[in-house]
Amino acid sequence: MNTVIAVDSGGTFTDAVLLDADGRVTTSKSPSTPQDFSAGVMASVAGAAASLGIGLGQALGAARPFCVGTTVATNALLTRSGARVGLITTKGHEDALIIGRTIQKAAGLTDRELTDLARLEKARPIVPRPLTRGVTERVDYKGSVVVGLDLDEARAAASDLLGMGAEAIAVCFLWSFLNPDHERRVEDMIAAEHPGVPVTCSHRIAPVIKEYERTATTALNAYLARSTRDYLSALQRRLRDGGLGGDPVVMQSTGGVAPAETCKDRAVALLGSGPAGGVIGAARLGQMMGIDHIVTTDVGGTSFDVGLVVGGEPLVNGAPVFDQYHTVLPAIDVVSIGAGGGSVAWIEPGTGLLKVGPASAGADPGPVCYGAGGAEPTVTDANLVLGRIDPDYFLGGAKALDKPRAEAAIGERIAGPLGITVAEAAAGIVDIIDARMADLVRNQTIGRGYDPGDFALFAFGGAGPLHAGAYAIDVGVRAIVVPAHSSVFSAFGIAGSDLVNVRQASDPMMAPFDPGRVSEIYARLEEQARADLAAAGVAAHNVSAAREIEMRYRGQVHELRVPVPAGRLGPADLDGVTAEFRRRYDRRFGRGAGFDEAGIEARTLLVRGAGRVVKPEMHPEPDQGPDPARARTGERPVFFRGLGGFSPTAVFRRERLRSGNRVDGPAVIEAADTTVVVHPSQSVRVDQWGSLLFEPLESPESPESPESGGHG
Amino acid sequence: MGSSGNGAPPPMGSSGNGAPAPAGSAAIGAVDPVLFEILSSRLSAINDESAMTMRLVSGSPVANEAYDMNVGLMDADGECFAIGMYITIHSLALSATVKDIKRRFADNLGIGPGDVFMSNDPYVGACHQMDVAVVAPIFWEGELVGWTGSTVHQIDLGGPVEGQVQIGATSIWGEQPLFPPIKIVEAGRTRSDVEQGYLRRTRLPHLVGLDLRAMIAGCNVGAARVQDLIGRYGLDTVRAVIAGVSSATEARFRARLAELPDGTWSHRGYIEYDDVYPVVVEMTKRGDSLVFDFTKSADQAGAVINCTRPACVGATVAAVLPYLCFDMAWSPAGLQRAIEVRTREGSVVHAAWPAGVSKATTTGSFMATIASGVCLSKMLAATEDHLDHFMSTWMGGLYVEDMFGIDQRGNFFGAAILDAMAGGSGARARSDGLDAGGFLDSPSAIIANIEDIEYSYPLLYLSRRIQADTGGAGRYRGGNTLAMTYVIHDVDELPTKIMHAIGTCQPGSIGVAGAYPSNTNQFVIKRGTNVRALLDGGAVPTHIDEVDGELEIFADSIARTSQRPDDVYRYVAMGGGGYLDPLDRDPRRVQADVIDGVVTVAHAAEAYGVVVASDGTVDSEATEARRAEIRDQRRRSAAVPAMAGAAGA
Repeated sequence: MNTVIAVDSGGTFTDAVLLDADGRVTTSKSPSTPQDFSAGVMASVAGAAASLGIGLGQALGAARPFCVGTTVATNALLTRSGARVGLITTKGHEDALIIGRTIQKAAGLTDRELTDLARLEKARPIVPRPLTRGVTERVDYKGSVVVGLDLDEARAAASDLLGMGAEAIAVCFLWSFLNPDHERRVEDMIAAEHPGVPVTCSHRIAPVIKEYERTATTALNAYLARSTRDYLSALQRRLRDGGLGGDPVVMQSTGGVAPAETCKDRAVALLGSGPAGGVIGAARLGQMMGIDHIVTTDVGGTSFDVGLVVGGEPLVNGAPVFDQYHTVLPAIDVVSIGAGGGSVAWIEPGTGLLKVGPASAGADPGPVCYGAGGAEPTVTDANLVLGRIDPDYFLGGAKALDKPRAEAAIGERIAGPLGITVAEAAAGIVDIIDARMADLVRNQTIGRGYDPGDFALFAFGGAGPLHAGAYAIDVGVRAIVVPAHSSVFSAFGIAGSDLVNVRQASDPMMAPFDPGRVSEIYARLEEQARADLAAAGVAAHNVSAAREIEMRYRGQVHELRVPVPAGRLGPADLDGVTAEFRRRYDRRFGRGAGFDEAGIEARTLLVRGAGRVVKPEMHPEPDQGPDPARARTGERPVFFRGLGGFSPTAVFRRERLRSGNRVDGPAVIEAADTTVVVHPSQSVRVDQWGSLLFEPLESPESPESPESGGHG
Repeated sequence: MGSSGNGAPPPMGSSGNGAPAPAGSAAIGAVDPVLFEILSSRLSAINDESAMTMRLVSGSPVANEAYDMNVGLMDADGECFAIGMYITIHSLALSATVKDIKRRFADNLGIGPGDVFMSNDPYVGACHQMDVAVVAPIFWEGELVGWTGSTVHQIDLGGPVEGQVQIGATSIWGEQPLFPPIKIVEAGRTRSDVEQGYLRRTRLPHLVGLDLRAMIAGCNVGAARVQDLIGRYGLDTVRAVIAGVSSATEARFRARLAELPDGTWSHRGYIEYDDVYPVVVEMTKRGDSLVFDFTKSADQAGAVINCTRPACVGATVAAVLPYLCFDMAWSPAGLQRAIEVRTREGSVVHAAWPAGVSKATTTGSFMATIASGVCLSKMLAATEDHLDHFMSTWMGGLYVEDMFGIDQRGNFFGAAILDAMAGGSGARARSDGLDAGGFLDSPSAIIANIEDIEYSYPLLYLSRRIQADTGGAGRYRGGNTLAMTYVIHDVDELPTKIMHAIGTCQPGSIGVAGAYPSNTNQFVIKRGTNVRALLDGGAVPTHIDEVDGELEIFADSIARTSQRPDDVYRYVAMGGGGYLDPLDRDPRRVQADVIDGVVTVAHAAEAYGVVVASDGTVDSEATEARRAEIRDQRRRSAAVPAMAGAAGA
């Protein structure tokens, strides 16, 4: 049996998870190495290997697959260090990327940020306007050629762009998803005349209606290709030299992995892949635990990320935004707000109200208690003041925190002006951030027509377990799960990912749909997906293909995805699909909300090809009984509003807790990289997979029972 | 141009650090400040959810591709304490509609749990007939505790002329039928008679029907969530928080006003119609209050371009929010307590019955927002502390095209093309306005993809580009806007095409402090061209000059026409205004704009006095000479202005 190694290389830390043939999990954390991320990857794997007492070569030699999550594409975009891209597009439509449908200035911003109109900016262009060339050609909404391609003009444009220093070319023509002929001819021409110049064509990367989003996706791919290719090549080399047999696989934002070699041509698919790992991990762990509706919450220093797993499947966003660009590659839907340990507390001038965020102290200078020059009190400072974080056991004691300094800052800037005690002020800061997190969870569940009472909430990331006991209860979920390995949970998720190949094509049509036309498109998409998975070495019997179709009432802009049966389709199959659309629509928007008279249309057809990777099974730990005494390290005063202030609170060491152990609140459970707060009246049980389960679920502070929430 | 009335120079002082905030919690009464913060955030999250629901259900590209819509939460009296980040003026319409319902229908008709009302009556509250307001009471244990509301601009609601502009109307009797508040849903059940009556009058019953469901769904979601909140925290607490949101905003807003200099600023904007109708506003700021005086505005027209008083009041709030409320919750009711709006009944911004108002949101109330915004920008320009929030005029005239006909699949269709929402934004204190930046009334403005437009309607766009030189020149220039060209496609005719705008004869986006204004809105059709021969011959003409034919220029602000296969249509939307003298612009910035193609070489020399050679380099000597020449021309042409003696200073 093989070993699975997964490494998640983030901005600050590189996490490794090693799942050996016996199903044992070993983890490790190393600093990331931004100059060459592959160095940090190797160090992190070496760390995990060392804890097992084996060498790096031995670990790599047994690894199959070796999985990587990387922020290299995201970083190249955020720092605008991608390639110099030339864009060839339909003459007359050169500015689509700059116009950005106007909303580009607001893309990805919260309402609070939107109120500050004078600060809004368009995206920093990934293609400078002078590096855009329109060429003569035009296809219409039927895919018919209105004006043929002027290949000479395209030839001149390509030479011109390369002469101006373009390192990569993006090609996106109007309606090319219906008729890719013109793009293909430009692609062939560049390949013949400028061999080696990387070209991204929109009909290959994203054959989907909506020219702005398609152009952005195409241009982003060209822009990110070089840095992604360089990184993956360096990684492949190092791993091969280190003893890895095959090609590593890389996490994509769709929530599956793909061979590194394939990803070199699909760099845009790596954008936003970081948060996807956690959602996939939750889906997998949920499957083991028998939970199929999950809200995932990841709290870091600056952001709070929420994802959903419904019926065992992660929810997907068809139009994710990356640094103000809207794209069209379906990505695991993770919604983020600026709320985390670094969020700054302040008093609003004019009203004297206490506010938290959206500003963040970040990692530098960081919270006041870091003693690195931060003067504004943060959520982490408040947690420290409340006794929830141990100043001497932060990052396992690697970083000493200055509690008196945090108290002084909160006293001076918050408690003083409000005329309350420092502890009350700190509790207020935490209450407000907890409520903001609860609001986001609520909007992502109730706001999408789901009852949070049907969901378990998974809390991970450095600070998730610190706050989950409050924000999860506030929403009214049915269970809280703090997974084992919660601080390296993304890497855990990547380790459990299948190979995924998503194919999509737009072909707008009105109901009743033509079964022949629909079947033909699905057959083509499935063939592409299966061919790619076969090339990645997946045996045919391990490949599955799921079909979906995006439908809406005519005139609407937002589509619902509906599953489509496999095989050759008949009229009855498609009637069934239409009925399912109506059913889902009513469920989402209320019975009677549908409006059949408007007609139903379908736009984009998708196939999600998955290649199952055979992985070692994890083994459940037999029940060791409820007594957690072995893990108890002592007690300290921790502030709980429900107990009237600071109360003696038991402290436990996470790694010493065993399956079946039960910890009653108030309590604090500490690991080197995370802290779990168990509120009074809450109780936590360790399950057979090492997860902490909160039960029974009662509101930590307020006497009223939580609302289970309405339905949308 | 002289479109700008000049305010008296503001006295210095009164800004700065003086006496700030009163002890804060006074604003929110007895509610715990932490709980207040939590629940007020929750209320705005509820509003977001209503808006999202409405967008998802709506079938209208106007709601979904242009976001011409909004939602609001109101207290039991109909005061709107929270609005969505869409078209801001709508919030006031919702509020006024609720107040009317309470005043007139509380007994006969009755207001009960599960009821939903709708109205399009501008004399009640709707901005114009097309902006249907849907409002629903929120009950808790039999007691009325608040209202939710939603509105979406409709493409057709009947009347003699398709779409919104009732060409030829001489009073409201020639415009779309009005309905004062009617009950569309009674105790949770949609009244079919009312729904059918409503849909019977429109040419587009499917679209309008879907939008009606969207608005009702938006209201229902908001009401259900507020009830959840009351169930959890208790009625008294939620009610106190709702009251507190408005008073906290009022306190915050008054503190903002106190930071700003006292003074009077004025502006005169124009609406072109059968005559030119000035919209004149004098804005006076004293201490912590603000007065907008529109009484010197022109007398009303017979129909079409006027707005009613509620729309004018909403228009001032729509300007105050983005200029002064950049760091606070957008709660209109709180602001309004510190703002007085003076209007004169019978004027173009305070129509007297039975004057028509069918195009109000792009005429009377639009110009009221722009004119108020100009005054606010000048006030900010007179500060040190808030100069960073100065913005010169955003797109000062919105162009809309309504079209009706038979589409490429043989079905009757109606559409509003709103590409012009990608106007230029105003120059800022230390940076340029945004190209295709949008417009002031809607932070979330969006335009449709061409592929979506061509899929739905029988059009083929030959071009849609940033149009150089459309932003007003200045040391910091206004944002440029778009120009677009299209022909009809796969049909023999587009029989009804109604083009309408203000700012066709004069630029609505003025420059501030010595800067230049934007371009004007322009629409033309070249008739009987060789465009088909060019396309068949393998060429794509992307500019109207590239086809031969007879140029028809629509100089009027409203034109109804048709388009045939050989006709090529072009329009240019409006850019933003500049800030400070363009002769002081760093020549390197002008050069960069020329290289980017957003300023032409000719405009660089003419407006900025910067001479850019054909190789893209700046000729410093020639630039110095050119700038000296322009300054000299200015001195020579300077004259003491004749005293107009009229309104506006």
